[in-house]
Amino acid sequence: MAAVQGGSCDPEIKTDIKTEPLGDGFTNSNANDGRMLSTPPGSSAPAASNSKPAAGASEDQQTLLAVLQFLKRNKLTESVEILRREAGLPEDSLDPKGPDSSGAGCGGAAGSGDAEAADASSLLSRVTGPSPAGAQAPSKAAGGEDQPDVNVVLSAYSQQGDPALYDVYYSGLKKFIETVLDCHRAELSQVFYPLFVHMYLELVYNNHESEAKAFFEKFSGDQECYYEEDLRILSGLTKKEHMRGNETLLDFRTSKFVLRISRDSYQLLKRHLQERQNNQIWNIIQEHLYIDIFDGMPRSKSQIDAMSGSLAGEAKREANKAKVYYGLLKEPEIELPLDDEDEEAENEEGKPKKKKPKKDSMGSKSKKQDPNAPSQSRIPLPELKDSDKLDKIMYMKEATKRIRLGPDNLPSICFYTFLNVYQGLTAVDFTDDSSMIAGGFADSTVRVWSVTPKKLRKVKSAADLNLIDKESDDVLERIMDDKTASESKIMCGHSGPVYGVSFSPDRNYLLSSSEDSTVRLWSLLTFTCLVGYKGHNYPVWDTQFSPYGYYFVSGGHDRVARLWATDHYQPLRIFSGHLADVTYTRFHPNSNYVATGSSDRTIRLWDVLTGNCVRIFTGHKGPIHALAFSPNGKFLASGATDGRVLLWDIGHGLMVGELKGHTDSIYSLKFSRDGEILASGSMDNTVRLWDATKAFDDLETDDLTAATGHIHLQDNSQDLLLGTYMTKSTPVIHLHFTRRNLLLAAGAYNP
Amino acid sequence: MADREERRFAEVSRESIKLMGESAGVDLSDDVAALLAEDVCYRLREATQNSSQFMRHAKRRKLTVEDFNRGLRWSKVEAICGYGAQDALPFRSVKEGELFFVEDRDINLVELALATNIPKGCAETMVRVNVSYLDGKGNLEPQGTVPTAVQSLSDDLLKYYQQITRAILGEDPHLMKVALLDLQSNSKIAALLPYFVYVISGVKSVSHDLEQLNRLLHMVKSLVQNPYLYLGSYVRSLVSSVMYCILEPLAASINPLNDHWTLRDYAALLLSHIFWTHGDLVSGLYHQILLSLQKVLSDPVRPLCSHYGAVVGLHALGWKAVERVLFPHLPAYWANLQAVLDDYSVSNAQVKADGHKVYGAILVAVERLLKMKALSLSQPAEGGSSTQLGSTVGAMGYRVSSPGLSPPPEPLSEAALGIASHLQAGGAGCPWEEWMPVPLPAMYSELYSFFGDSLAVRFSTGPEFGSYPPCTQPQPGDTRKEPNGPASNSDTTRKMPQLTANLNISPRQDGSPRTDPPPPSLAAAGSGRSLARSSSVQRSRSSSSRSSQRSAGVSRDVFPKARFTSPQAGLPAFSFLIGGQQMGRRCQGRRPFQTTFAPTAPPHAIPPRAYAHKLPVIGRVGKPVRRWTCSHYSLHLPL
Repeated sequence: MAAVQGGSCDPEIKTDIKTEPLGDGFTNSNANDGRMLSTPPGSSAPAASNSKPAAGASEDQQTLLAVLQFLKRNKLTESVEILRREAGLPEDSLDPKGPDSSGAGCGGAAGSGDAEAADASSLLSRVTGPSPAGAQAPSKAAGGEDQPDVNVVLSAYSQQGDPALYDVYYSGLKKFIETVLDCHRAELSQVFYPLFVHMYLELVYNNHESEAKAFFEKFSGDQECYYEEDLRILSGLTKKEHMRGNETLLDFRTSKFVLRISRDSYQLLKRHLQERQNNQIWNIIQEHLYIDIFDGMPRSKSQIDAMSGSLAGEAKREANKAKVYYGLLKEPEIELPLDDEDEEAENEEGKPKKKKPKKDSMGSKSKKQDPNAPSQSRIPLPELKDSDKLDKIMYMKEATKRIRLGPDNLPSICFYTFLNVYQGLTAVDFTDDSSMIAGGFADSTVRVWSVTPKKLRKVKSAADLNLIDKESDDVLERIMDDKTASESKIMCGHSGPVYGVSFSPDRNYLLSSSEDSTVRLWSLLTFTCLVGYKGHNYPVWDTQFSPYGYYFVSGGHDRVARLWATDHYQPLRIFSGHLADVTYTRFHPNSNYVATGSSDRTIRLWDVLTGNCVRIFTGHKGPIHALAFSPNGKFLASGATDGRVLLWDIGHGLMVGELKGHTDSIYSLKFSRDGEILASGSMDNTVRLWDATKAFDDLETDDLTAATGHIHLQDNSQDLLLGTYMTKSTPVIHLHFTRRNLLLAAGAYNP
Repeated sequence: MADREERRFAEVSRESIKLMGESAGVDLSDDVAALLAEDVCYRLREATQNSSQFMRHAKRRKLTVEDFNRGLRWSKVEAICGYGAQDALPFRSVKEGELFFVEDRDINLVELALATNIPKGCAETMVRVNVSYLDGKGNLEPQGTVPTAVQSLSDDLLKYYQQITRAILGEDPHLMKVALLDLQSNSKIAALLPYFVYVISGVKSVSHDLEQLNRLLHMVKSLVQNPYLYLGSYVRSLVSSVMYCILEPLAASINPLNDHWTLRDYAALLLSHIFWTHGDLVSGLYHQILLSLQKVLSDPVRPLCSHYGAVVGLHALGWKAVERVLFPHLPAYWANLQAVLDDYSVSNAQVKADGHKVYGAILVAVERLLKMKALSLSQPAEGGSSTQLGSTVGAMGYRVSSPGLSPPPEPLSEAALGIASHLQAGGAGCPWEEWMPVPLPAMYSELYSFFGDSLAVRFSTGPEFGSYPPCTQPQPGDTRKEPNGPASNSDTTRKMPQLTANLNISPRQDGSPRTDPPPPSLAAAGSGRSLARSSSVQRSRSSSSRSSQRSAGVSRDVFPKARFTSPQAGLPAFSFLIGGQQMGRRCQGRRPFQTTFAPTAPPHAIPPRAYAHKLPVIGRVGKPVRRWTCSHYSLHLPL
């Protein structure tokens, strides 16, 4: 993430410590990015050399100016013009302000949001500012003007302390923290890890290899076990040269590690460090850590452990303050025909449905507008087609036959086993009506199977289509070519493993994302590729259609998630902020938000309208590979390689549950149609069912918890676990509830 | 420091770097090499970390070469080619140079291109579905418990039972095959076991219908082979049904056109299979079976086809059974048989033909008895040294007959079930108590007295016997012919050339026993044909038995339709339709999620979907692995 640092940012952020010029730059710059990228659909400027869809929102003049300046420097005059026009800025606004803005250092690096996507060198460019003081220096957008130098990047480490004393400093602090009162100890212990890492890196940077190794040896054992993976990477890094291009290191350097500490504990620490004149540590704390101070009781060890573990510490409380409209959109009123008049209903369906505003239908779903729901037109959604309405009717009919699940009434599970895939199955998706299943494979193919007796057919060729009677009632049937009927179809086009597949809600399209850095849109009528969406420059790990179609989201190794519309070849939004790969993307049921999971071990929720990050959830100890929204939109479940499922209250931005039981990475999560049951599937060859109703009912959502964000999780995984179901050496990589609440699971047999 | 580093990571040594440099024509100084080595190690670690994400996203646990190459490619490093093989690469060292390298053999592409055994393509990727857990509690009915009669069957089970029995006893052979296969692999039918056993006990009512009997026997086989079923005491009932097919003068056998012989052979095979796999479930089963067989054999009133069944049954149970029951009984029985065979009257033609069947069966049985006995004697002396083919055959024989070597010392008075129930100890043959093992030479000479040359030919060509005469026990003097090894016996001297021929052949035979034609001189000697045949004793069991049958036919020239399948190898002699490893693994126990799909509807005959629909509710819809490619039934489940 772009590091926007410096005291000048302080006024913007109401930091609790007024006296300490603690740097910020995380949420703030993040917000900047978001706003900058929140271009209305279609207005994104065509990207030039480094493809920056820069457009402005007028609310942040500074950012805008910085962007303009950046564009100008890169000779993107056309873009400058467009941007200026769009933002309504006067012609001359740029020049006088330019130096100012770079001097002020506000949002200077914001423009590099997309540069993240470029490559490793532009990753480096996110952090700039050649001043030796580093953090306090105004950072400028260093886009492409000069090759970023590792010295610049790491300049903060150039301060030279006596390497022999690092040991003393650290153990001094350790001793101090061990002697403080118990209530403070847990909180202050949080400092150890970031401090350790930064001190180690400083030693390495200053070529004190043997001291660095000794330091690592001595203190690495003290760190929390969930940092083990990072420590392993760190331990391999012993030379200054290695620091160039090491992403883990860059993450440490460029993002401030966020700690939440109570005011009392913080004062204690501060006093200690000042008394001891322990400037080395104090400097690190000031420059590289962000201490989010709160008033009130210090947190306990378990509380801290529950929330920590991410690459950059916890989320700041500010990050989760924004209002989230998690309610569901009102369903369009559709007359529900009675069961016995199926045929008739479907025929008369076509025309009368067009008069949608007709409100007289009794509308089984005619619920009041949810107060927490976004307005119906907050983001433009595609109009319902006739076929969509038919499908909705089918859905409602099915829903009436839905089995009510509960602890005493567990779903039946059908397992779809992929055979003969030779370790090559990478992604699976079901259509919502469970009529088709798609698999993405490591051999670059996408395959679709029909799971009903209805075979998959292609549309006839153009010549044949000319012959058919277009006025006939069954024209949709007539256009299909029976000769092509088969149980499965293969679609080739990608040039790398397919890591994500997603059906469109109307079942006419399929999306696939691949290592070849493209997302492809396939037609399920012709079984050919329609569009290849290029934008990610690195492998695209996941993609998903919006529940209303038209939009889709993708996320990849370039650390951003992108929002697309099927008819735009460029992304509408770029969600940038994760510190590592975006591994999983999911749409909120109301399509106004997107959740992304990342290898930086955080989950972020993005507002589709503004592009802002509205929630950051920390607590996982491994890359997140599964997300699921509850059907009512209030909750989010996440699963990671640490084998744990965490439950989140979106509205309050709180962790509300932890489900322990899986022994390996969790690759799929799904709520039952009514949200009573959460199913999780894992590499450990099991499907587990959890009592979601109970998990969410037991919530103590008192105001205090909501205000402080401190959660008390009771360990009730065993009570909530309703069942564990083994497969036969078949990792469960996808789960799906049919409309009648039958659980479908899928995976490849792995002999 | 260095130690720590070494413990934590794999390390490329300075020497390796220097060597690599030399091979590229660069001379590196120590310092440079050290620096390079360290950097290489670091870069390797980095590349590994980068590549691991590709593994994670491919949802695998195993890092592949491809993952690594992807990691390299995205780090703008050239990929490494040539390491994509699935199997581990041999890592070798050259002692002199302390050089370690991955062996990279030359591959002759011409050979590869012109190879005739073109590898078949991989099986097609496909999706199969089954209901794994019904209402969240799949497969919960305990397996192996014997359900009581009052236990109410669920509707699904009842439907399954009806479908299966209808399919098996019905007209459609395809349907029957499917049903049998499912019966063989379904893990959830424990509750139905008694019902199926009852159906099978219906053999007595359909003794006129060979086809039905055959189907019921197949049903037995499927049940026996089902790894999820615990047969328990039902074994007894199944055995008695099978024995019925072996021994009873079936109504169907009145018509000489009916090939009830095959049925008896099959039943005998099945009997031995049940016995070897489930014999431990019922104590004293072995004795009971032997007693019933013996009783039939010693009952002259019984028709010859019953006798035939008894002989075949004994044969199937192993050579020990033959030795204990058939051999002692042979002198008594021989007279009767001889009488039948010598009666050339027209009215006796049919009976005589039957007699020939029995004769052939006895011949086959005693031949194996002799062979195995010789082997069992020579084996300990030989100490397992030989690379001779005989030893492998012997090992097979041992394995098969091992339970028979120590028959459980059960009291015989206990009431036996079913057919064995009317047995009494001590028939016409030797009673159990008096039974003493007869030494091999004595046995041989006695048998020779019955069968004459038709036996001797076969016997002397057996490499085992011919090779080891000195190792056998000293011959007792009271035997009539004193077969002091074939060489010393005047009757067998003329077989000497065959022996030497065999000695020549046998060492080579363990490679490919089929390749050696008999020496031309032997063929000229007239016995070449039989020699060639008997040298194929070491071939696959069925062929050996068939050939022996045929050579029996050479001497007697009668049995036109006889079709023996030697039960020499008991269990493996069955060719299972579901073969291969998956089947084997599935046997390990109850596995709720079915991942391999056993066969179901053969493509054309039945409306497969309708069938497949009903089955999954209960359990797996089977289809053998190799037939997946032609599956036509859909994945549909009523959702």
